[in-house]
Amino acid sequence: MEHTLSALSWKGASLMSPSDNPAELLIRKLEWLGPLSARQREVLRRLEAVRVSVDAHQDIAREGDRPSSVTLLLAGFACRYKLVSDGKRQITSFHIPGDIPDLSSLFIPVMDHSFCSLAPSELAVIPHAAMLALFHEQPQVAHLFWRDTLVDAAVFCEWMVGIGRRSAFTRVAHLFCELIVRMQAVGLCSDYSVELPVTQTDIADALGLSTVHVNRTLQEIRGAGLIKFSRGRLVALDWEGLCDAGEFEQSYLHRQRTKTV
Amino acid sequence: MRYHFHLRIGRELSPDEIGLDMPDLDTAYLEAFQAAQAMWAELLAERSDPMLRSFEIADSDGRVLLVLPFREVLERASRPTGRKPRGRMPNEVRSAQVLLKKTRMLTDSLIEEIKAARNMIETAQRSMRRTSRILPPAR
Repeated sequence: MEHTLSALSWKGASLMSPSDNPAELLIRKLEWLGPLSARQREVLRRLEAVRVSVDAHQDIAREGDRPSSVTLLLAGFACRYKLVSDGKRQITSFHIPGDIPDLSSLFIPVMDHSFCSLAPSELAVIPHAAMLALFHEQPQVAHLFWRDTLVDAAVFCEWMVGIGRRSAFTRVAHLFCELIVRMQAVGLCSDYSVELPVTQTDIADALGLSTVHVNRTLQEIRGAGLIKFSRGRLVALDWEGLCDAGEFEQSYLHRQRTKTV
Repeated sequence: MRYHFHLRIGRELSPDEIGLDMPDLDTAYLEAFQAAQAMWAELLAERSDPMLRSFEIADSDGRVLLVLPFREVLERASRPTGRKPRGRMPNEVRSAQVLLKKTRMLTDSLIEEIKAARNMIETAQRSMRRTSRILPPAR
């Protein structure tokens, strides 16, 4: 069986088994937002893409760039960020496999923020033309992507509420809940345990806190018996308790299917 | 270098078992100062007394290298701006001020360097594009 999403990879190397087809990740992500027909899944599997590997902390797109493709994160961890004039960084969102962090570049030609890997990552680079052809051929799929950008907006909104109104403790707990639920959607969470390769500095830059404040807050959340967080692995020891601490109510993530973690 | 930011509240000590990597003790002090400053607001909102608290910055062997009482945030704030402080300033506050100035200067020069590097990358990209127009793409 030929998988175009891998067939066009660098130097023609196509080593993936059907279960490794990167399209499956995208399909899982979209099906979280709404149903796909067999035909739509097939079209997604034939989407043209190039596979690229990047190290941790590499800029994938920079503010001011004019990308001609979008980037599907296949493995690893990434974020979008902006730098302010004194050199401080504000992370505006975290991204997990299945996400297309620069999807907006399809309709907003100049990047108004940067996008980088936080861990060694695998990417599928999909030309804008291929995405637009997909939307044209399968409007239902375009609707799901639209829905996905609405979820993105809802996540931004929660972050804004957090930075503006929530305590450090609530902010960090809320972020952990968000990431656990999102990773669960693409099958990257089992037993409330996720790979989370972020540093305390990354969390500080995302939540508008100082690093020592994040460090202190992590001890508090740990001390309350809610999480275990070491060596890039986050485990929610008391999911209900963590949700309460984070004032987390997952309906804003617009999950269409209900599954337990 | 790994630093641990233990929090003392009165007689109790809440240890930092995670720690944070920092280039040096000066940076560790400045980061702790920033945290203390932000924590003041949160503590006052929940009617806790920040004056009872201090950070004890220790190395991985548990040696306390520096103590930062939260009241230092207030001492710094009460200094009239642009004038010599009245009375004796704690050494930590004075060294923090010097460090802050140094950090700002370093940040500025770093921003300049990043700008220069970006320019170089752009130049390189431009010449690569020019080259790829001349040569057929490598297969």
